[in-house]
Amino acid sequence: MKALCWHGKEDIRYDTVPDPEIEHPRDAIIKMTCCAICGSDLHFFDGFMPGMKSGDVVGHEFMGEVVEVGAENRKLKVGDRVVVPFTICCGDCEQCRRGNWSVCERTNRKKDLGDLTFGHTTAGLFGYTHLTGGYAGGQAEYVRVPYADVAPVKIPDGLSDEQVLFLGDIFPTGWQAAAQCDIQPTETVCVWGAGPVGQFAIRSAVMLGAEQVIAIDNVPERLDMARAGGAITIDFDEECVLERLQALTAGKGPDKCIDAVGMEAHALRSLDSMIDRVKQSVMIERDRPHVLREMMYVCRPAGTLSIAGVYGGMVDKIPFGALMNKGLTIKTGQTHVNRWTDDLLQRIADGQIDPSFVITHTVGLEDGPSMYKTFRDKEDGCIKVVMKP
Amino acid sequence: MSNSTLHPLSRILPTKPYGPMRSPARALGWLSIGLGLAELAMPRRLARIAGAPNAPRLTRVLGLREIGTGIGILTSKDPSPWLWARVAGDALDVATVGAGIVTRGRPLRTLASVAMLLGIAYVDMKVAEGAPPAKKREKRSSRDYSDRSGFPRSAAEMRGIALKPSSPMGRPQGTATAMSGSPVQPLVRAGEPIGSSLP
Repeated sequence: MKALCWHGKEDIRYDTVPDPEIEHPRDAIIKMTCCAICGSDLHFFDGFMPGMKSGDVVGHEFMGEVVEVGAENRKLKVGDRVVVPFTICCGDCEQCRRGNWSVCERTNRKKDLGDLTFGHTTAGLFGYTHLTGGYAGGQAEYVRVPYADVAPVKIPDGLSDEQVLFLGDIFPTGWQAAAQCDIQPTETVCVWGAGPVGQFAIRSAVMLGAEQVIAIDNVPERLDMARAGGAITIDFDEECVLERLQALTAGKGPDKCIDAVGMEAHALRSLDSMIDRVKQSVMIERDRPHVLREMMYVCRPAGTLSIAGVYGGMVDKIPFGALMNKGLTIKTGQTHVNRWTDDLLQRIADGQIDPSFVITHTVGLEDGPSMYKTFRDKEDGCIKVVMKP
Repeated sequence: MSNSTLHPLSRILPTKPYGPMRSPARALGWLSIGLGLAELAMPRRLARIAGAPNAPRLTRVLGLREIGTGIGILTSKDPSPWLWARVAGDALDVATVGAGIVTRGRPLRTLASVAMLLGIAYVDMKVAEGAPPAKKREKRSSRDYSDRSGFPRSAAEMRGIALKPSSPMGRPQGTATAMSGSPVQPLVRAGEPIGSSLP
Protein backbone atom coordinates (compact mmCIF):
# COMPACT_ATOMS: atom_id res chain seq x y z
CA MET A 1 0.00 0.00 0.00
CA LYS A 2 0.99 3.63 -0.24
CA ALA A 3 1.66 5.72 2.84
CA LEU A 4 3.38 8.88 3.98
CA CYS A 5 6.59 8.04 5.80
CA TRP A 6 9.02 10.08 7.85
CA HIS A 7 12.64 9.95 6.75
CA GLY A 8 14.11 12.88 8.63
CA LYS A 9 13.69 16.57 9.19
CA GLU A 10 11.49 18.06 6.44
CA ASP A 11 11.60 14.71 4.66
CA ILE A 12 8.19 13.07 4.30
CA ARG A 13 7.84 10.63 1.41
CA TYR A 14 4.98 8.90 -0.36
CA ASP A 15 6.29 5.36 -0.01
CA THR A 16 5.16 1.85 -0.76
CA VAL A 17 5.03 -0.13 2.48
CA PRO A 18 3.68 -3.56 3.47
CA ASP A 19 -0.06 -3.79 4.07
CA PRO A 20 -1.01 -3.97 7.74
CA GLU A 21 -2.33 -7.22 9.15
CA ILE A 22 -4.41 -8.25 12.13
CA GLU A 23 -1.91 -8.92 14.91
CA HIS A 24 -4.29 -9.36 17.83
CA PRO A 25 -7.89 -10.56 18.05
CA ARG A 26 -9.09 -7.12 19.16
CA ASP A 27 -7.54 -5.37 16.13
CA ALA A 28 -9.27 -4.03 13.06
CA ILE A 29 -7.95 -2.93 9.71
CA ILE A 30 -9.34 0.33 8.40
CA LYS A 31 -9.34 1.40 4.79
CA MET A 32 -8.62 5.09 5.12
CA THR A 33 -11.07 7.37 3.34
CA CYS A 34 -9.96 10.69 4.75
CA CYS A 35 -7.03 11.90 6.83
CA ALA A 36 -5.42 15.17 7.81
CA ILE A 37 -2.11 16.77 8.68
CA CYS A 38 -2.16 17.90 12.28
CA GLY A 39 -0.13 20.70 13.83
CA SER A 40 1.48 18.03 16.01
CA ASP A 41 2.79 16.37 12.87
CA LEU A 42 4.88 19.46 12.27
CA HIS A 43 6.89 18.72 15.40
CA PHE A 44 8.50 15.68 13.77
CA PHE A 45 8.51 17.37 10.35
CA ASP A 46 10.55 20.19 11.89
CA GLY A 47 12.77 17.76 13.75
CA PHE A 48 11.62 18.66 17.24
CA MET A 49 10.19 15.27 18.19
CA PRO A 50 12.63 12.71 19.55
CA GLY A 51 12.25 9.01 19.00
CA MET A 52 11.29 8.95 15.32
CA LYS A 53 12.68 6.26 13.04
CA SER A 54 13.27 6.50 9.33
CA GLY A 55 10.40 4.86 7.49
CA ASP A 56 7.76 5.45 10.17
CA VAL A 57 4.25 5.72 8.73
CA VAL A 58 2.93 9.01 10.10
CA GLY A 59 -0.40 10.67 10.80
CA HIS A 60 -2.94 10.37 13.58
CA GLU A 61 -6.04 12.11 12.22
CA PHE A 62 -7.87 9.63 10.07
CA MET A 63 -11.10 7.79 9.45
CA GLY A 64 -12.28 5.10 7.13
CA GLU A 65 -14.14 1.90 6.54
CA VAL A 66 -13.54 -1.28 8.49
CA VAL A 67 -12.31 -3.99 6.10
CA GLU A 68 -11.13 -6.65 8.54
CA VAL A 69 -11.85 -7.39 12.17
CA GLY A 70 -10.08 -9.56 14.73
CA ALA A 71 -11.87 -12.58 16.17
CA GLU A 72 -12.44 -11.02 19.61
CA ASN A 73 -13.63 -7.65 18.40
CA ARG A 74 -17.33 -7.42 19.23
CA LYS A 75 -17.69 -3.71 18.56
CA LEU A 76 -16.89 -3.38 14.88
CA LYS A 77 -17.90 -5.24 11.79
CA VAL A 78 -16.71 -5.07 8.21
CA GLY A 79 -18.27 -2.11 6.47
CA ASP A 80 -18.57 0.11 9.54
CA ARG A 81 -17.54 3.69 9.00
CA VAL A 82 -15.38 4.92 11.87
CA VAL A 83 -13.34 7.86 13.06
CA VAL A 84 -10.28 6.66 14.94
CA PRO A 85 -9.10 8.79 17.90
CA PHE A 86 -5.39 9.52 17.90
CA THR A 87 -5.02 7.95 21.33
CA ILE A 88 -4.98 4.16 21.53
CA CYS A 89 -6.90 2.97 24.58
CA CYS A 90 -7.27 -0.46 26.15
CA GLY A 91 -10.52 0.35 27.95
CA ASP A 92 -9.57 -1.90 30.85
CA CYS A 93 -6.84 -0.16 32.83
CA GLU A 94 -7.50 2.13 35.77
CA GLN A 95 -6.95 5.30 33.74
CA CYS A 96 -9.25 4.20 30.93
CA ARG A 97 -11.95 3.34 33.46
CA ARG A 98 -11.60 6.81 34.95
CA GLY A 99 -12.01 8.35 31.51
CA ASN A 100 -8.37 9.43 31.36
CA TRP A 101 -8.04 7.89 27.96
CA SER A 102 -4.89 9.68 26.83
CA VAL A 103 -2.90 8.23 29.70
CA CYS A 104 -3.93 4.64 29.16
CA GLU A 105 -1.46 2.49 31.04
CA ARG A 106 -1.29 -0.38 28.61
CA THR A 107 -1.17 0.75 25.03
CA ASN A 108 2.30 2.24 24.83
CA ARG A 109 4.24 -0.78 23.67
CA LYS A 110 7.47 1.16 24.29
CA LYS A 111 6.46 1.71 27.91
CA ASP A 112 10.05 1.85 29.13
CA LEU A 113 10.78 4.81 26.90
CA GLY A 114 7.61 6.55 28.06
CA ASP A 115 8.53 5.94 31.68
CA LEU A 116 12.06 7.19 31.13
CA THR A 117 10.95 10.35 29.36
CA PHE A 118 7.88 11.42 31.29
CA GLY A 119 8.16 9.53 34.56
CA HIS A 120 5.21 7.35 33.62
CA THR A 121 4.04 6.05 30.32
CA THR A 122 1.13 7.64 28.46
CA ALA A 123 -1.18 6.12 25.88
CA GLY A 124 0.07 4.78 22.60
CA LEU A 125 -0.45 7.21 19.73
CA PHE A 126 -0.79 6.60 16.02
CA GLY A 127 1.90 7.73 13.64
CA TYR A 128 4.03 9.55 16.13
CA THR A 129 7.21 9.10 18.11
CA HIS A 130 8.37 5.75 19.45
CA LEU A 131 8.13 7.30 22.89
CA THR A 132 4.40 6.77 22.44
CA GLY A 133 4.56 3.31 20.99
CA GLY A 134 5.72 3.84 17.45
CA TYR A 135 2.43 2.64 15.95
CA ALA A 136 2.02 3.02 12.19
CA GLY A 137 -0.10 6.05 11.42
CA GLY A 138 -3.17 6.96 9.45
CA GLN A 139 -1.72 8.84 6.49
CA ALA A 140 -1.86 5.55 4.66
CA GLU A 141 -4.27 3.60 2.51
CA TYR A 142 -4.80 1.03 5.27
CA VAL A 143 -4.27 1.24 9.00
CA ARG A 144 -4.10 -1.39 11.69
CA VAL A 145 -6.06 -0.19 14.71
CA PRO A 146 -5.05 -1.94 17.95
CA TYR A 147 -7.73 -2.28 20.65
CA ALA A 148 -10.22 -1.41 17.95
CA ASP A 149 -13.10 -2.48 20.17
CA VAL A 150 -12.55 0.56 22.42
CA ALA A 151 -11.81 3.94 20.89
CA PRO A 152 -13.08 4.04 17.28
CA VAL A 153 -16.27 6.05 16.90
CA LYS A 154 -18.93 4.66 14.58
CA ILE A 155 -20.33 7.29 12.26
CA PRO A 156 -23.98 7.25 11.27
CA ASP A 157 -25.08 7.74 7.70
CA GLY A 158 -25.79 11.26 6.58
CA LEU A 159 -22.63 12.90 7.84
CA SER A 160 -19.76 13.52 5.46
CA ASP A 161 -16.16 12.55 6.18
CA GLU A 162 -15.24 16.22 6.35
CA GLN A 163 -17.87 16.87 9.02
CA VAL A 164 -16.69 14.13 11.36
CA LEU A 165 -12.99 13.58 10.63
CA PHE A 166 -11.86 16.03 13.29
CA LEU A 167 -13.64 14.13 16.05
CA GLY A 168 -10.47 12.06 16.18
CA ASP A 169 -8.32 14.91 17.47
CA ILE A 170 -8.60 18.64 16.94
CA PHE A 171 -12.28 19.17 17.70
CA PRO A 172 -12.16 17.33 21.05
CA THR A 173 -8.79 18.99 21.70
CA GLY A 174 -10.23 22.46 21.26
CA TRP A 175 -13.34 21.45 23.18
CA GLN A 176 -11.40 19.98 26.09
CA ALA A 177 -9.21 23.09 26.21
CA ALA A 178 -12.34 25.19 26.68
CA ALA A 179 -14.32 22.73 28.81
CA GLN A 180 -11.55 22.32 31.37
CA CYS A 181 -11.57 26.12 31.82
CA ASP A 182 -14.99 25.83 33.48
CA ILE A 183 -16.10 28.96 31.65
CA GLN A 184 -18.57 31.23 33.43
CA PRO A 185 -20.97 33.52 31.53
CA THR A 186 -19.17 36.73 32.52
CA GLU A 187 -15.72 35.56 31.63
CA THR A 188 -13.18 36.42 28.98
CA VAL A 189 -11.35 33.55 27.35
CA CYS A 190 -8.14 34.27 25.47
CA VAL A 191 -6.82 31.76 22.94
CA TRP A 192 -3.17 31.92 21.87
CA GLY A 193 -2.85 30.54 18.33
CA ALA A 194 -5.55 30.56 15.68
CA GLY A 195 -4.48 27.39 13.96
CA PRO A 196 -6.93 24.48 13.67
CA VAL A 197 -6.98 23.66 17.39
CA GLY A 198 -7.24 27.33 18.25
CA GLN A 199 -10.20 27.70 15.87
CA PHE A 200 -12.03 24.87 17.61
CA ALA A 201 -11.11 26.24 21.02
CA ILE A 202 -12.61 29.59 20.03
CA ARG A 203 -15.87 28.03 18.87
CA SER A 204 -15.99 25.75 21.89
CA ALA A 205 -15.55 28.73 24.23
CA VAL A 206 -18.36 30.52 22.41
CA MET A 207 -20.65 27.48 22.63
CA LEU A 208 -19.77 27.08 26.30
CA GLY A 209 -20.93 30.60 26.98
CA ALA A 210 -17.86 32.83 27.30
CA GLU A 211 -18.84 36.48 27.31
CA GLN A 212 -15.81 37.45 25.28
CA VAL A 213 -13.33 35.36 23.31
CA ILE A 214 -10.01 36.82 22.20
CA ALA A 215 -7.68 35.16 19.69
CA ILE A 216 -3.98 35.98 19.26
CA ASP A 217 -2.06 35.17 16.08
CA ASN A 218 -0.21 36.95 13.28
CA VAL A 219 -1.60 35.22 10.18
CA PRO A 220 -4.32 37.31 8.54
CA GLU A 221 -6.35 34.37 7.20
CA ARG A 222 -6.37 32.69 10.59
CA LEU A 223 -7.42 35.88 12.27
CA ASP A 224 -10.23 36.24 9.70
CA MET A 225 -11.44 32.74 10.51
CA ALA A 226 -11.18 33.46 14.23
CA ARG A 227 -13.33 36.56 13.85
CA ALA A 228 -15.85 34.55 11.85
CA GLY A 229 -16.07 32.20 14.83
CA GLY A 230 -16.86 35.01 17.22
CA ALA A 231 -13.45 36.09 18.50
CA ILE A 232 -11.93 39.52 18.89
CA THR A 233 -8.49 39.26 17.37
CA ILE A 234 -5.03 40.54 18.21
CA ASP A 235 -2.30 40.47 15.56
CA PHE A 236 0.86 40.25 17.62
CA ASP A 237 2.92 41.59 14.71
CA GLU A 238 0.89 44.76 14.65
CA GLU A 239 -0.26 45.30 18.23
CA CYS A 240 1.06 44.99 21.76
CA VAL A 241 -0.63 41.90 23.19
CA LEU A 242 -0.41 43.05 26.79
CA GLU A 243 -1.87 46.48 26.09
CA ARG A 244 -4.75 45.10 24.00
CA LEU A 245 -5.62 42.49 26.61
CA GLN A 246 -5.60 45.11 29.34
CA ALA A 247 -7.86 47.31 27.25
CA LEU A 248 -10.27 44.49 26.38
CA THR A 249 -10.59 43.33 29.99
CA ALA A 250 -10.69 46.66 31.80
CA GLY A 251 -7.21 45.99 33.13
CA LYS A 252 -8.17 42.72 34.80
CA GLY A 253 -6.70 40.28 32.32
CA PRO A 254 -8.46 37.31 30.74
CA ASP A 255 -10.09 34.93 33.20
CA LYS A 256 -9.19 31.86 31.20
CA CYS A 257 -6.17 31.44 28.91
CA ILE A 258 -5.82 28.69 26.33
CA ASP A 259 -2.48 27.76 24.78
CA ALA A 260 -3.16 26.36 21.31
CA VAL A 261 0.43 26.91 20.18
CA GLY A 262 2.77 24.62 22.08
CA MET A 263 6.49 24.11 21.75
CA GLU A 264 7.14 26.03 18.54
CA ALA A 265 5.98 29.53 19.38
CA HIS A 266 6.82 31.88 16.52
CA ALA A 267 6.60 35.20 18.31
CA LEU A 268 10.20 35.84 17.46
CA ARG A 269 10.23 39.55 18.05
CA SER A 270 10.10 39.23 21.80
CA LEU A 271 13.38 38.98 23.64
CA ASP A 272 12.46 35.80 25.49
CA SER A 273 11.59 34.09 22.19
CA MET A 274 14.92 35.04 20.66
CA ILE A 275 16.74 33.66 23.69
CA ASP A 276 14.65 30.48 23.51
CA ARG A 277 15.58 30.01 19.88
CA VAL A 278 19.28 30.42 20.59
CA LYS A 279 19.11 28.00 23.52
CA GLN A 280 17.09 25.54 21.50
CA SER A 281 19.66 25.67 18.71
CA VAL A 282 22.46 24.62 21.03
CA MET A 283 20.34 21.98 22.78
CA ILE A 284 20.08 23.59 26.21
CA GLU A 285 16.30 24.04 25.99
CA ARG A 286 13.83 21.83 24.14
CA ASP A 287 10.69 23.92 23.77
CA ARG A 288 9.96 27.59 23.18
CA PRO A 289 7.49 28.51 25.93
CA HIS A 290 6.77 32.15 25.07
CA VAL A 291 3.02 31.56 25.22
CA LEU A 292 3.23 29.95 28.66
CA ARG A 293 5.14 32.93 30.02
CA GLU A 294 2.73 35.40 28.50
CA MET A 295 -0.32 33.53 29.75
CA MET A 296 1.02 33.38 33.29
CA TYR A 297 1.75 37.08 33.22
CA VAL A 298 -1.53 38.35 31.76
CA CYS A 299 -4.02 35.94 33.29
CA ARG A 300 -6.38 37.37 35.85
CA PRO A 301 -5.59 36.22 39.42
CA ALA A 302 -7.37 32.98 40.30
CA GLY A 303 -7.72 32.27 36.61
CA THR A 304 -7.06 29.11 34.66
CA LEU A 305 -4.42 28.24 32.09
CA SER A 306 -5.52 25.48 29.76
CA ILE A 307 -2.66 24.07 27.73
CA ALA A 308 -3.68 22.16 24.62
CA GLY A 309 -0.51 22.90 22.65
CA VAL A 310 2.02 20.10 22.69
CA TYR A 311 5.25 20.39 24.65
CA GLY A 312 8.00 17.80 24.49
CA GLY A 313 10.51 18.46 27.23
CA MET A 314 12.26 21.14 29.22
CA VAL A 315 11.33 24.82 29.28
CA ASP A 316 13.24 27.65 30.91
CA LYS A 317 12.47 30.93 32.66
CA ILE A 318 8.90 30.19 33.64
CA PRO A 319 7.46 32.95 35.86
CA PHE A 320 6.38 30.57 38.55
CA GLY A 321 6.14 33.41 41.04
CA ALA A 322 3.32 34.93 39.00
CA LEU A 323 1.66 31.56 38.71
CA MET A 324 1.83 30.88 42.43
CA ASN A 325 1.07 34.31 43.79
CA LYS A 326 -1.89 34.84 41.45
CA GLY A 327 -3.24 31.44 42.36
CA LEU A 328 -3.52 30.25 38.78
CA THR A 329 -4.70 26.78 37.91
CA ILE A 330 -3.04 24.82 35.10
CA LYS A 331 -4.94 22.17 33.22
CA THR A 332 -3.29 20.33 30.42
CA GLY A 333 -2.74 17.00 28.74
CA GLN A 334 -3.23 15.16 25.51
CA THR A 335 -6.93 15.04 24.83
CA HIS A 336 -9.04 12.31 26.38
CA VAL A 337 -10.76 12.06 23.02
CA ASN A 338 -13.40 9.52 23.96
CA ARG A 339 -14.64 11.69 26.82
CA TRP A 340 -16.08 14.05 24.28
CA THR A 341 -16.78 12.17 21.08
CA ASP A 342 -20.35 11.03 21.82
CA ASP A 343 -21.39 14.52 22.79
CA LEU A 344 -19.61 16.27 19.94
CA LEU A 345 -20.84 13.80 17.33
CA GLN A 346 -24.36 14.54 18.48
CA ARG A 347 -23.75 18.28 18.27
CA ILE A 348 -22.53 17.85 14.69
CA ALA A 349 -25.57 15.75 13.88
CA ASP A 350 -27.78 18.38 15.53
CA GLY A 351 -26.27 21.02 13.28
CA GLN A 352 -24.78 23.10 16.07
CA ILE A 353 -21.43 23.13 14.33
CA ASP A 354 -19.95 21.94 11.05
CA PRO A 355 -16.25 21.26 11.69
CA SER A 356 -15.46 21.24 7.97
CA PHE A 357 -15.22 25.03 8.13
CA VAL A 358 -11.54 24.68 9.00
CA ILE A 359 -10.55 22.75 5.85
CA THR A 360 -8.69 24.97 3.43
CA HIS A 361 -6.90 22.41 1.26
CA THR A 362 -8.02 18.97 0.06
CA VAL A 363 -5.46 16.92 -1.85
CA GLY A 364 -4.58 13.33 -2.72
CA LEU A 365 -2.36 11.40 -0.33
CA GLU A 366 0.40 11.48 -2.93
CA ASP A 367 0.55 15.27 -2.55
CA GLY A 368 1.02 14.98 1.20
CA PRO A 369 4.79 15.53 1.29
CA SER A 370 4.55 18.94 -0.33
CA MET A 371 1.50 19.87 1.74
CA TYR A 372 3.47 19.41 4.96
CA LYS A 373 5.60 22.33 3.89
CA THR A 374 2.64 24.37 2.68
CA PHE A 375 0.92 23.82 6.02
CA ARG A 376 4.05 24.50 8.06
CA ASP A 377 4.84 27.71 6.19
CA LYS A 378 1.18 28.79 6.13
CA GLU A 379 1.46 29.32 2.40
CA ASP A 380 -1.56 29.89 0.21
CA GLY A 381 -3.72 30.62 3.24
CA CYS A 382 -3.30 27.06 4.43
CA ILE A 383 -4.97 26.30 7.76
CA LYS A 384 -6.02 22.65 7.50
CA VAL A 385 -5.03 20.02 4.97
CA VAL A 386 -7.23 17.01 4.32
CA MET A 387 -5.93 14.14 2.22
CA LYS A 388 -7.73 11.34 0.44
CA PRO A 389 -6.27 8.13 -0.94
CA MET B 1 16.00 14.67 12.57
CA SER B 2 17.52 17.99 13.42
CA ASN B 3 20.27 17.66 15.89
CA SER B 4 19.86 21.24 16.92
CA THR B 5 17.39 19.88 19.43
CA LEU B 6 18.13 16.19 19.40
CA HIS B 7 16.76 14.56 22.50
CA PRO B 8 19.33 12.55 24.46
CA LEU B 9 17.01 9.56 24.22
CA SER B 10 17.35 9.53 20.47
CA ARG B 11 20.84 8.23 20.97
CA ILE B 12 19.60 5.03 22.49
CA LEU B 13 16.90 4.48 19.92
CA PRO B 14 17.81 2.35 16.96
CA THR B 15 17.24 5.14 14.53
CA LYS B 16 19.06 6.21 11.46
CA PRO B 17 21.47 8.90 12.57
CA TYR B 18 20.62 12.39 11.54
CA GLY B 19 23.65 14.09 12.99
CA PRO B 20 24.53 17.72 13.34
CA MET B 21 26.35 17.61 10.01
CA ARG B 22 23.04 17.07 8.21
CA SER B 23 23.81 19.95 5.90
CA PRO B 24 27.04 21.82 5.16
CA ALA B 25 25.64 25.05 6.62
CA ARG B 26 24.74 23.37 9.89
CA ALA B 27 28.14 21.71 10.01
CA LEU B 28 29.77 25.11 9.68
CA GLY B 29 27.48 26.43 12.40
CA TRP B 30 28.67 23.78 14.81
CA LEU B 31 32.28 24.26 13.68
CA SER B 32 31.92 27.96 14.53
CA ILE B 33 30.60 27.23 17.98
CA GLY B 34 33.28 24.62 18.67
CA LEU B 35 36.09 26.86 17.51
CA GLY B 36 34.64 29.81 19.41
CA LEU B 37 34.49 27.83 22.62
CA ALA B 38 38.08 26.70 22.14
CA GLU B 39 39.19 30.29 21.58
CA LEU B 40 37.40 31.37 24.74
CA ALA B 41 38.71 28.53 26.87
CA MET B 42 42.34 28.29 25.79
CA PRO B 43 43.38 31.34 23.78
CA ARG B 44 47.11 31.07 24.49
CA ARG B 45 47.37 27.43 23.58
CA LEU B 46 45.38 27.94 20.41
CA ALA B 47 47.52 30.90 19.40
CA ARG B 48 50.66 28.84 19.96
CA ILE B 49 49.38 25.93 17.88
CA ALA B 50 48.30 28.21 15.05
CA GLY B 51 51.41 30.31 15.15
CA ALA B 52 49.31 33.40 15.78
CA PRO B 53 50.25 36.37 17.99
CA ASN B 54 49.88 35.73 21.70
CA ALA B 55 46.92 38.08 22.31
CA PRO B 56 44.43 36.25 24.51
CA ARG B 57 41.93 39.10 24.69
CA LEU B 58 41.80 39.43 20.94
CA THR B 59 41.50 35.64 20.57
CA ARG B 60 38.58 35.61 23.03
CA VAL B 61 36.83 38.37 21.11
CA LEU B 62 37.27 36.35 17.94
CA GLY B 63 35.86 33.37 19.82
CA LEU B 64 32.74 35.30 20.77
CA ARG B 65 32.33 36.28 17.15
CA GLU B 66 32.63 32.65 16.09
CA ILE B 67 29.96 31.57 18.59
CA GLY B 68 27.65 34.36 17.47
CA THR B 69 27.87 33.43 13.80
CA GLY B 70 27.49 29.75 14.67
CA ILE B 71 24.28 30.38 16.58
CA GLY B 72 23.09 32.62 13.77
CA ILE B 73 23.64 29.87 11.21
CA LEU B 74 21.87 27.26 13.34
CA THR B 75 18.89 29.38 14.33
CA SER B 76 17.98 31.42 11.28
CA LYS B 77 15.74 30.16 8.50
CA ASP B 78 18.03 31.91 6.04
CA PRO B 79 21.63 31.20 7.08
CA SER B 80 23.14 33.02 4.07
CA PRO B 81 23.96 36.31 5.84
CA TRP B 82 25.54 34.42 8.69
CA LEU B 83 27.58 32.30 6.30
CA TRP B 84 28.86 35.44 4.61
CA ALA B 85 29.64 36.78 8.07
CA ARG B 86 31.81 33.71 8.50
CA VAL B 87 33.63 34.53 5.26
CA ALA B 88 34.28 38.04 6.54
CA GLY B 89 35.46 36.57 9.81
CA ASP B 90 37.80 34.27 7.93
CA ALA B 91 39.46 37.31 6.39
CA LEU B 92 39.93 38.74 9.86
CA ASP B 93 41.36 35.45 11.08
CA VAL B 94 43.82 35.27 8.18
CA ALA B 95 45.01 38.78 8.97
CA THR B 96 45.32 38.04 12.69
CA VAL B 97 47.13 34.73 12.28
CA GLY B 98 49.25 36.15 9.48
CA ALA B 99 50.60 38.72 11.92
CA GLY B 100 52.18 35.79 13.70
CA ILE B 101 54.81 35.60 10.97
CA VAL B 102 56.32 38.71 12.51
CA THR B 103 55.59 38.09 16.19
CA ARG B 104 55.97 34.33 16.56
CA GLY B 105 59.01 33.72 14.45
CA ARG B 106 57.70 30.38 13.20
CA PRO B 107 56.71 31.26 9.67
CA LEU B 108 56.15 27.69 8.50
CA ARG B 109 53.60 26.94 11.20
CA THR B 110 51.93 30.29 10.65
CA LEU B 111 51.84 29.81 6.91
CA ALA B 112 50.31 26.38 7.36
CA SER B 113 47.61 27.91 9.56
CA VAL B 114 46.95 30.66 7.04
CA ALA B 115 46.65 28.07 4.28
CA MET B 116 44.16 26.12 6.36
CA LEU B 117 42.17 29.27 7.05
CA LEU B 118 42.08 30.10 3.36
CA GLY B 119 40.78 26.61 2.70
CA ILE B 120 38.05 27.06 5.29
CA ALA B 121 37.23 30.46 3.80
CA TYR B 122 36.85 28.82 0.40
CA VAL B 123 34.46 26.23 1.85
CA ASP B 124 32.52 28.95 3.69
CA MET B 125 32.18 30.93 0.48
CA LYS B 126 30.98 27.93 -1.51
CA VAL B 127 28.44 26.99 1.14
CA ALA B 128 27.26 30.60 1.39
CA GLU B 129 26.83 30.74 -2.38
CA GLY B 130 24.87 27.51 -2.37
CA ALA B 131 22.55 28.30 0.53
CA PRO B 132 19.05 28.96 -0.77
CA PRO B 133 17.50 32.12 0.58
CA ALA B 134 14.51 31.56 2.84
CA LYS B 135 11.18 32.16 1.19
CA LYS B 136 9.24 34.87 2.89
CA ARG B 137 5.56 34.27 3.37
CA GLU B 138 3.28 36.80 1.87
CA LYS B 139 1.53 38.55 4.71
CA ARG B 140 -1.86 37.80 3.19
CA SER B 141 -2.95 35.30 0.59
CA SER B 142 -5.88 35.84 -1.72
CA ARG B 143 -8.07 33.50 0.32
CA ASP B 144 -10.90 34.88 2.37
CA TYR B 145 -12.15 32.95 5.38
CA SER B 146 -14.26 35.67 6.88
CA ASP B 147 -17.42 33.62 6.29
CA ARG B 148 -16.06 30.40 7.80
CA SER B 149 -17.74 30.35 11.16
CA GLY B 150 -18.78 26.70 11.22
CA PHE B 151 -21.97 27.80 12.93
CA PRO B 152 -25.46 27.70 11.40
CA ARG B 153 -26.20 31.11 12.88
CA SER B 154 -24.16 34.11 13.96
CA ALA B 155 -21.55 33.52 16.65
CA ALA B 156 -23.50 35.81 18.96
CA GLU B 157 -26.57 33.60 18.61
CA MET B 158 -24.50 30.50 19.21
CA ARG B 159 -23.02 31.85 22.44
CA GLY B 160 -23.78 29.40 25.22
CA ILE B 161 -25.66 26.99 22.93
CA ALA B 162 -24.02 24.05 24.65
CA LEU B 163 -25.55 25.10 27.95
CA LYS B 164 -29.10 25.90 26.82
CA PRO B 165 -31.42 22.95 27.22
CA SER B 166 -34.39 25.01 26.04
CA SER B 167 -32.79 25.96 22.76
CA PRO B 168 -34.01 23.96 19.78
CA MET B 169 -30.38 23.10 19.15
CA GLY B 170 -29.48 22.85 22.79
CA ARG B 171 -28.62 19.69 24.61
CA PRO B 172 -29.43 18.58 28.12
CA GLN B 173 -27.48 20.70 30.56
CA GLY B 174 -24.32 19.13 31.82
CA THR B 175 -23.44 17.17 28.73
CA ALA B 176 -21.09 19.86 27.53
CA THR B 177 -18.48 19.16 30.10
CA ALA B 178 -19.46 15.73 31.28
CA MET B 179 -17.21 12.84 30.52
CA SER B 180 -19.53 11.30 28.02
CA GLY B 181 -18.25 8.06 26.71
CA SER B 182 -16.22 7.52 29.83
CA PRO B 183 -17.65 4.54 31.56
CA VAL B 184 -17.01 5.03 35.25
CA GLN B 185 -16.35 1.54 36.42
CA PRO B 186 -14.88 0.06 39.54
CA LEU B 187 -11.17 0.58 39.52
CA VAL B 188 -8.82 -2.25 38.95
CA ARG B 189 -7.44 -4.09 41.89
CA ALA B 190 -4.28 -2.81 43.48
CA GLY B 191 -1.26 -4.52 42.07
CA GLU B 192 -2.82 -5.21 38.72
CA PRO B 193 -0.01 -5.29 36.18
CA ILE B 194 0.15 -2.44 33.73
CA GLY B 195 1.87 -2.10 30.42
CA SER B 196 1.35 -5.76 29.66
CA SER B 197 -0.53 -7.85 27.12
CA LEU B 198 0.12 -5.52 24.26
CA PRO B 199 -1.49 -6.54 21.05
